[in-house]
Amino acid sequence: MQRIRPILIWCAVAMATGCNAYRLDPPKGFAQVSEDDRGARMKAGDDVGLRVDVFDNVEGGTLAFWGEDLVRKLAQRDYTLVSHRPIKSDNRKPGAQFNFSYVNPDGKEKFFSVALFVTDKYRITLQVAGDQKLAGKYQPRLPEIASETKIRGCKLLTDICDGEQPQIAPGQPKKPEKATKEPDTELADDTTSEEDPQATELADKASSEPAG
Amino acid sequence: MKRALIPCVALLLLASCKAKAAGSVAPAHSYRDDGDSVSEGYAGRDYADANYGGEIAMEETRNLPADEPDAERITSTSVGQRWKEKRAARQAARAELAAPAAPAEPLDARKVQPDGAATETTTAGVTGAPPQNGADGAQAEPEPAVAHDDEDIDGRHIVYTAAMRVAVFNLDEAMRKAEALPVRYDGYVSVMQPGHLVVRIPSKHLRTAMDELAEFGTVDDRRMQALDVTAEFVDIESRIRALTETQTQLLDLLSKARTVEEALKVRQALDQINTELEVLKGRMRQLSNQITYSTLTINMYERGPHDPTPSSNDPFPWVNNLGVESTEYR
Repeated sequence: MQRIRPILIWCAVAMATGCNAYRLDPPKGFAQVSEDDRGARMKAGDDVGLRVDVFDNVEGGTLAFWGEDLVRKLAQRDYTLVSHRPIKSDNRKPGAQFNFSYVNPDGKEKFFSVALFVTDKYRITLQVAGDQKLAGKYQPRLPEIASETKIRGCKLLTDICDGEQPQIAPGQPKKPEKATKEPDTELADDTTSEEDPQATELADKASSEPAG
Repeated sequence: MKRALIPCVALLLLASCKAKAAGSVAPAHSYRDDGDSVSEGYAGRDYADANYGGEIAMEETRNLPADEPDAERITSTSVGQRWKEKRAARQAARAELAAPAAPAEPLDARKVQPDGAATETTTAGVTGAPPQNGADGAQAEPEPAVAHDDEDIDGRHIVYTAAMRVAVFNLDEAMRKAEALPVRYDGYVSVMQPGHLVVRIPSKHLRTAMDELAEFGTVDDRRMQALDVTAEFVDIESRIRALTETQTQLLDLLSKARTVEEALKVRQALDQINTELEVLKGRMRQLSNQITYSTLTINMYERGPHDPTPSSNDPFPWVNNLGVESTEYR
């Protein structure tokens, strides 16, 4: 009975948590707006949003493939890649974080960060976005939020969940001709440190001096 | 006395039948080139009935394919059975030579006439053998009931339906260009609403028109469907042909009607045929129009420089759901 008990407890926990692709409780400072098995929405007090989305993966879809796809398509929409780095989930699944800057149609500067995890069954994104002035507060928190997220959908004997990081070329991706605003030169300079994750981390820490 | 007379009369009739069958049975007008074979076929047979069966048999032989062996035609000593066999063979030959959907029940006018010419005319009209009055018959190459130039692949009839969704920078200008587009390809605009157009374009120009439309902006969605309606088209053609034939025959019968009652009956049948014919012709016209002119549904909307730029054939549009607009709160 003692041997069976841990198994029973594990089964009970699994049943309680369900077979969702992810598991994330609202991080500190965020309140849950909505949740279902395909995603969740959370809101911070300063209108910064945190969003989880689950997409089905396909055969051959890896972290590198989807990461490059994400960056290329967001670039077509005038999102400027500032930096990217590897991250890990609560259950040690590797992922990648991408930080973007963006100017909306009203001319306001925004920050946008997305953490991407890829398993055999799912693609899971954690997005956080808000005013550019809040970038220093929330962008460095994304690895912490990712480390609180359980990611499911990995299969045995496959290496999708251990896939290599996307190889994004240093410098900004090519923008479409109808872009109305040139990227900030300071942000452009930051991309030179993409190849060095540690340098990126240090840069993020430096920019995340607590403002409040 | 009377009781004795009846069997005598029957015997006399039987004897006359045998004599006639055993004698020169070759008809006055033998329509086969090998008329001897016809007479040989009938001579020496043991007919139990009168001329009726014999003459009918010869007449029907005329309509059968010439290469049919005699042995296949005469397989029984019973006239009734032989009549059934000949009828089956006649129907099979008719099915080969004439169009399908010929009337199964013989008309009342299909009777043996002493005059061979009249019989031939009537029989031929009923069985659908050589055509009359220019009506299409089995011998002529089947022609479409409605002239059309829509046969594309190996004579197939395909109905094409397409739809496109295009993001443009100037909706008014794009709508004007889209409205003028079908006219250049001999098409026309079927439905027009702000941002929505349904145009009919000749099938052969459909893809070209879609490629030209794609240059108006960014294509969000592009779809095309093809539906093969050849079977239905051919079926309707055949039915129109058969009904037209029947209509002609009925008109002929109407002109030969001797009593008002006969004329009324024929008229009723004719009206029914006319109604069916009109329905089929209407459906044929509709099909032909759909085949000749493809339907292209165009939806256009205006977008600004910061709107998402989805690719038209990207199978993974997942990134369209990501971004600042869908994440932050305002």
